[in-house]
Amino acid sequence: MTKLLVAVALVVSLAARAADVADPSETAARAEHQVLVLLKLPPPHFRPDGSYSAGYADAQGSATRRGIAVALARSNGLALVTDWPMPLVGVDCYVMDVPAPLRAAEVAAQLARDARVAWAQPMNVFHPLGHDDPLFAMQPAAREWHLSEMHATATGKGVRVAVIDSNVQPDHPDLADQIAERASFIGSRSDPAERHGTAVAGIVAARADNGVGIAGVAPDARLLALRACRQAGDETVCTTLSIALAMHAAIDRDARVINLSLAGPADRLIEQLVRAALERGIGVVAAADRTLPSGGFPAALRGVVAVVDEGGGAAPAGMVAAPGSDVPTTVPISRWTVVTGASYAAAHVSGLLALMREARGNARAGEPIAAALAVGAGGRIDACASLVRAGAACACDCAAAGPMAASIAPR
Amino acid sequence: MRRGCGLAILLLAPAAHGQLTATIGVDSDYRYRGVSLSNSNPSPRLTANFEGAERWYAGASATSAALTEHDAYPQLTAYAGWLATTLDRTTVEIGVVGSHFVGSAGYDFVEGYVGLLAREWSARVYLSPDYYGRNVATAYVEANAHVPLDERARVFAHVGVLAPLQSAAGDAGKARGDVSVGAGIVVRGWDLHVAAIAATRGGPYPAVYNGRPATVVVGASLSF
Repeated sequence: MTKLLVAVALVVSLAARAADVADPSETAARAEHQVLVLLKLPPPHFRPDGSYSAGYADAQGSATRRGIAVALARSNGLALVTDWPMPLVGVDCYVMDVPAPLRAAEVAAQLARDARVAWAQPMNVFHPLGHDDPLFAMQPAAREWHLSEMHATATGKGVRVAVIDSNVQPDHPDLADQIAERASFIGSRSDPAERHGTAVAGIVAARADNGVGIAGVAPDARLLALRACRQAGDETVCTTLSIALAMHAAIDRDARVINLSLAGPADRLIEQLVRAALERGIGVVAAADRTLPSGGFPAALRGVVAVVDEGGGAAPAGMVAAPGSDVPTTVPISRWTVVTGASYAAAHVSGLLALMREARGNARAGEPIAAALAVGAGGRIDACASLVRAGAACACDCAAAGPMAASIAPR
Repeated sequence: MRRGCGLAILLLAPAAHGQLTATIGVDSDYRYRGVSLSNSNPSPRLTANFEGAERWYAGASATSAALTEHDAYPQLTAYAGWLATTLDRTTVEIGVVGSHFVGSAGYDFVEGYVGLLAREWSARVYLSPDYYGRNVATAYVEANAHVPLDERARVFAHVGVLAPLQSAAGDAGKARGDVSVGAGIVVRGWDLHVAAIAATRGGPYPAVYNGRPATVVVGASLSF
């Protein structure tokens, strides 16, 4: 009953508070004129008046921090837009509009010098990696990763995989019943399903053996479809705040794998949430940009599995390569198409981590799973060897990968 | 009580990154570990709390406590503690709290406490060498649950047991349990809460002898 109440309250809250702007370009334009001000959120502790009114202390501290935020906004000529508590990383996050001609980066630097502020930063904008160019229908993981044989050993049963992306179509024939929870941190819940998120979700966990479409890499995993990006035409945009809120929700709702098929500038708030996830043994997978050092952000963060499309050649140092070219997957209006890009390679690895998590078992649920990933020549993921390393007695043929497979290098 | 006064002075020291919160509040009954310390009458309280930058905190509060049926004294309470995260999603807390009763210092007492805190629950053990100055050492063990329903509303529950650590005469030698369930909501900056509270009779001083062992308490507070 409590979970139901919490879910209802969360839906109402999110519907009321999510930044609701018309399209991705407007989202990006507005984000350019916003800053995030992070105030330290002290952990709850003893209070002499707390025994019979628990939560009291939270309300008190919240009022204090809001007062600080209002004063900071006023003294810097900003407009306070909204605020979100992020207890997992110990901050309250305040969003402020920066009026022209002030520049968000300079305002953030000025705010950061205030002793009351933990840190301040511009609202960054992120974009998915990959191209949705239709090619021909075939599922490379079925061939290269011996998916059918792997599914005889593990299907990701019950493993929660958070897809932080654009709006997933929940009633797609290949995704119906695969989604454990949905939430939207940008736009409106009534917005139509979007291509990128639906495609990533399908690669991770499309239903198997239902007579239609494709089989996900982890068809029995449970998806957390957390919308942090909005899409119109070819443009998809996510912001610091929407990604951070989705990350927070993923950790809070016991995701064991988080898929981030997106990239953008280095961002302290998102980095802290990625670290919070890694500290809890959650596998974090990010699409990597070959042209950027260490794959860009967040792929370059230590502990994150940075994934490139193996169709583009060998993976640069510190990255791994997975199938990402000509991948058939789910798209809105209950259809399927073929996609290419690092976003979809990352989705493959997220699915694989779900299989490995199942193979490892509940007894070792808190241990990081990504360290067991095995790579072969050119940084290519050896899915079968990875599954065996995670603890599975694999029915698949690992011979090709065995001696040459190595653990991914820690970064 | 010298330690408590020292903590109160510490609150006045400036510190970077700290957060000072003052709170005024009133409850329809001042219940402390199940016992009414206001003869079941409304009781106001003023609290100041400081959160330091290095995971320490300190605070002080002032209220009135009726220690006998006819005598009420100003009660000044000071506390300080430190938080250390040692386990996944769980924080270990260590602290000390002391109360001074103005005009009746014989009731002054100090407790040390150790707690485990998570987002939706907490548990603490308090040890006092001389509970309420009655020459009885005590231990109080409590468990609390607090579940947010959304950003403003919450439900909570509490159970605690106060036990003497040495022999004491009569009912004072017994253990006393207290329980509560309640709900709270923040409306326009005001924290409004209601709790049903019950306690067993007897136990170390002060105890439920003639007063109601169970009651419903409503309260409101405002922070600034």
